[in-house]
Amino acid sequence: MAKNLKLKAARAVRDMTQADLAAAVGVSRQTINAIEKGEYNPTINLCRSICKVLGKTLDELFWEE
Amino acid sequence: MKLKEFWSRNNLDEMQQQTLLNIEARSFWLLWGMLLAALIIQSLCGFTMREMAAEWIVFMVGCVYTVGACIRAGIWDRHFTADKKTNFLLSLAGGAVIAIWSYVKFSEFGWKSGLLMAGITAVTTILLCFALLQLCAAMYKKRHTELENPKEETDNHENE
Repeated sequence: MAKNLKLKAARAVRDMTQADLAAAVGVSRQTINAIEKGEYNPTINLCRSICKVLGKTLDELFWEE
Repeated sequence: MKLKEFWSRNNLDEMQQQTLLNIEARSFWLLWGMLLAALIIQSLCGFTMREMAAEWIVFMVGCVYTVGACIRAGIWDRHFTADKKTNFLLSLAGGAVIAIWSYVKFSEFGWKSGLLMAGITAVTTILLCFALLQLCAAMYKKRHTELENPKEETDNHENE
């Protein structure tokens, strides 16, 4: 699975650390880290929570061209 | 009440939950294999059925629960399909393993006795395994069909 650089960039724009995002969506930091590294495929519920916190759509963060 | 709250509470997120399930699955198969190995070694060392009863009961309860739960969920196997040919080949493999075990166990009475017992137990195992696999496969197919064709909540759009 490819690295999710869009998620990393969106998090950086909001000046959030992985720990901040993890706390906001209610998961562990290692889960956010694994998603960004492409090592974990999150459920649609977690994707939606991340999108809400970062103010992005599912396509913007999780759609692969 | 507190116990109920304790069991319903989950400290893990979805990835940790999935990781824990993988760890538990590997642990299950490790324990299953080691328990089977212990039973085989004990039987070859001359332990009586009474001495092996506890391990055997634990092993069989685990196996029966796993098979029952899989059939109930309409799941057969990751690799094998539920058809006659596969079931027969698996039964043959089981028969071969039992034949080797029988030969090792009964060859102390002479190689002829060993071979005879190996043949008898192999044929019996193949027949029993095949019958049991066919029965389980039939139950699985029935359950799978039920789950694939739910009676309630028919989706009208599917037929359009």
